[in-house]
Amino acid sequence: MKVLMVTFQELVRRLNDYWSSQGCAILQPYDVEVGAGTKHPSTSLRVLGPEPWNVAYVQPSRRPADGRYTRNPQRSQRYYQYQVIMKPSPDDIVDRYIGSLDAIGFDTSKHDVRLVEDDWEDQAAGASGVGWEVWVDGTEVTQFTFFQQMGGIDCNPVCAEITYGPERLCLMLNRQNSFWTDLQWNETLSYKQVDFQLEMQHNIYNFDVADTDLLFKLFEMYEAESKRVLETEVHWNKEFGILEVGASPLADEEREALRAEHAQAGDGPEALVYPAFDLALKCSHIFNVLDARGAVSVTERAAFINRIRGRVRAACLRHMEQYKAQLQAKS
Amino acid sequence: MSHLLLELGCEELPASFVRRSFRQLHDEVVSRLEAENLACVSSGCMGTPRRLIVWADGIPARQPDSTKTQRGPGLKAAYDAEGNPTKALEGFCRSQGVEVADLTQEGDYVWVNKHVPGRPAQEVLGEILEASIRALTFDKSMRWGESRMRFARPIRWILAAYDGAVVDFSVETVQAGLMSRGHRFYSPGQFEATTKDSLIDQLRAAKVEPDPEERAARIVEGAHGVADGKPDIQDSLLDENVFLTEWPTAILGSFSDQFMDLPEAVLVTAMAKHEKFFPVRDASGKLTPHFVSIRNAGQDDDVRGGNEWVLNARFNDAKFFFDEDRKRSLDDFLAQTSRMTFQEKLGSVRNRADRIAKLAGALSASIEGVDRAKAEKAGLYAKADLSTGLVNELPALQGKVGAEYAAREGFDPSICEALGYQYDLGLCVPADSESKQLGLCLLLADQIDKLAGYLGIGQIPSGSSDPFALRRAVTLLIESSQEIGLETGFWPLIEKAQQLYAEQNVNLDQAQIRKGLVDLASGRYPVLWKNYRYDVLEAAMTTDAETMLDPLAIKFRVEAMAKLATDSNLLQTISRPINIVNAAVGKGIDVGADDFSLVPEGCLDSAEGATLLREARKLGTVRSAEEWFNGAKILADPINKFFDATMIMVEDASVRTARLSLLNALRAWFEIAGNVSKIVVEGS
Repeated sequence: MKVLMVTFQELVRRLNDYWSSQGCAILQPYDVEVGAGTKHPSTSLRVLGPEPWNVAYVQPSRRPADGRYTRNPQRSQRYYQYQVIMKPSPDDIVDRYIGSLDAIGFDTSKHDVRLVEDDWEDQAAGASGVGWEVWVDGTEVTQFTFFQQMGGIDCNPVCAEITYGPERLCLMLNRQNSFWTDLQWNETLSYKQVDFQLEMQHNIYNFDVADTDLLFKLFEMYEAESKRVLETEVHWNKEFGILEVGASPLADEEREALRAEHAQAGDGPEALVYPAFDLALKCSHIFNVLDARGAVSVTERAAFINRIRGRVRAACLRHMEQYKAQLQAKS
Repeated sequence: MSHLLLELGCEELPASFVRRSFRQLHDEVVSRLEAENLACVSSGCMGTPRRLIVWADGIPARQPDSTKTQRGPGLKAAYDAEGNPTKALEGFCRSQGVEVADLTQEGDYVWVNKHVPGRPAQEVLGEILEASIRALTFDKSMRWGESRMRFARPIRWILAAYDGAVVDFSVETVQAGLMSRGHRFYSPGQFEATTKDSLIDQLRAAKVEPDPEERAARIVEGAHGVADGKPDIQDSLLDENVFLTEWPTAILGSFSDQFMDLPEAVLVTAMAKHEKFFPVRDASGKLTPHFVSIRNAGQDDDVRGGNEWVLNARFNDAKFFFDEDRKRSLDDFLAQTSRMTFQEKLGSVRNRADRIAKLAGALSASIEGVDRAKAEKAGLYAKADLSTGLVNELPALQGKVGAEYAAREGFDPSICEALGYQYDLGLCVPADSESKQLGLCLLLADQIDKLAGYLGIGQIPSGSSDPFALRRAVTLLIESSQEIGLETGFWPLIEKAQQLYAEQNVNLDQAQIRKGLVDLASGRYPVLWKNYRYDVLEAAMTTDAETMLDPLAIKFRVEAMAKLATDSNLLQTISRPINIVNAAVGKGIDVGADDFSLVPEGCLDSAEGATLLREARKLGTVRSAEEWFNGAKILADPINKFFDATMIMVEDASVRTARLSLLNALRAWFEIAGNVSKIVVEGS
């Protein structure tokens, strides 16, 4: 009976194969809790900067407030996103995307595929995009965005960001209804066997158990640490080509030349952007748990979002330093 | 044939942009043709989410030759004392490519008249079309790939033909050609077209209906054709479907009867708002378990199956919460709002319910046809539904859910209607005027409580940041004050709200509320009444805080000033007493009382002054802009005669003060309607 069914694993494989054939590198999920695939630094940092960047990956995503104690058949506090980034966005990106629907098993000649206006904004990341939600027969299956800004910085060139909900795609393809009673991870394991325990327990933790005083403190600590780390001076060691803590022994001019050399090689800026960004992601996740817990009032909410945005933007600005010479040469 | 055809192909444009965009593109092209002396005889436009089409006929083959007149140097700089051309003049001639002999003199300058040969239309059109495309504006635009241009969505192709040949231009990386494309899924191939008729014919063959009117007709006809009952086709939803499709066809779908006990608002929201389906009603207007979906592509059974699947999932979601909510009463939900924070300094949503109840009760006295007990009850339960599962899941249904649950518990129908109506005057049309008045009463109480609270703790909107939608709150206050004819303005209500907060031990800063409200109101009136001139609005709005917070008074003043602004003679006449009084006050001269009844008539020593005073005393209380304007008209002649015959600043102090007092009373009377000095006289 289940012979024709598309499993979760099979769906991800089809997406990997397809986007791989379109020139995307298939990356792995990020290992810090994130609310969406967008927060993976392979999107959030790499959509900035002028170099081409074509990648795809699965990202487990946590949105504590979306939990429903597993009682909603299609909504969880932790689920998966399949994320594609193509920078710059190719002229035929929409056609390529529609090709992916055929590749995963929707015969687009039989279904009603619609691109419905939907702009996207993540205030805490200073990120925004313009694009569509893609409907197949009325169900939203993809968020399709031309990334305009990250960390409050204009993206130049602009990338296309394509985000699928693989669970829902499987259910749709199989005309099934529930993550918990219908979805198969592969032929032997169900989605429930893999993820139910985690989902159930985290719902209780998020909504009922999380220690809000502790989380508020953690937020402060991670925020302060993110700031400290980003402000920590590092420099390129000329001999070993690695970053070192502290001021550079080189004269300014020589240091600048070395910095430019590493930037040219794609080694990144003279700053601890990734650690600082991870710590900002921690703040973001803690805020989301506090929000789910109902511990953040409307006014505080705006203030917390501003604080997170401050850390993300600071990291993005430092990340952009590596392109300074390149951008100046261009203009 | 001198026929121009332009088709701009884009990735799917937002539905709400399409009509505006093809019209704007048309207007840009036509006005540029005129500006370039290539005006067309007739023109038109249409479009779909993937293409904006413009055509024009009767464009001349080339621009007519023209003469361009340009001013040169001044005569003194152009010729020396002997009348020989200076270096400056020779330089000018070189730059213009003319001889000194070609110049003419007029006034203090030399002039050159240059013959400019007209250019072929073909050549100018490329510039016109590119500029027209780049001139389009959108509510929101984007960049894509490496392009620096902003547009609503990426541009994919341009078809541009004039007299059968391609018009050569490009926009970013897209080069204009003669090829169009068919429907994205049904007929994705390309084909050549050089005229509007051929394009439209071929588009239809390629399953694209380019004309929105035709698509609308197809949708309406299709929906009626497949539906068993009557499809509920709201204009806005029809329009959305028209601009979400290129080749619309209707499909009938169904959902399980088990969802029929969900509130109608839930069913309709899921179908119409989330899925863009048309609900289907029976002859009595009741919903049936069917819907009409307008598809753009696909095969009947597959699309229907998918539509039913998604609607089923949405209804299941709603039903889960609805069934949970059923286990509890509105009183339970009200009690639960004590655990919901309205704002940390302003207390819980439950605290708010008590304030809104009392405020609505107090307000009921000023609103015709509102029963105090009903107003208080509606106020108390207004926000109870915020703690229901259904509103938590579908926040857009706040109010509606409360109305539904209240009806289930047998609340008075007018209270239920008012609960459903409280967030937006335009949300629904209540069945009767009692419900409408009660709804307005509730809406006012809600917004006043909100404004007093947030402004009183210093949460003042700034720039683009207005997280609590206080600007909208003030707009609602202004609109509903007018609707119910609130004579007191809303300041007394704010004071009442502040007192209710104080009873709950929340102290608000009154000066801050007043300043915040006046600032918000002065920003809102010009937006609401944008048909009035800026100076008229400014004249009306230069006044004290109480008047600013009285929309009826401001409206009267705006209308009066607008009338005055059309009559420059009258404006001049009534400015005279005002200017004289202001000048006298500036010099510290006693200007006497500002009331006609207190002007010492016996000291005027002027027959014209006595006549003027007599006329002025006849003016009754002014109730409308019309009355004020007519009053001013009546006084105009006596004022002019008074000034013609009488010196104001005479030596005799008692006479002078009496005369100034008359003018001062006139000033006060005129200024009921606004600060006249702000009005700008046309042509000056």
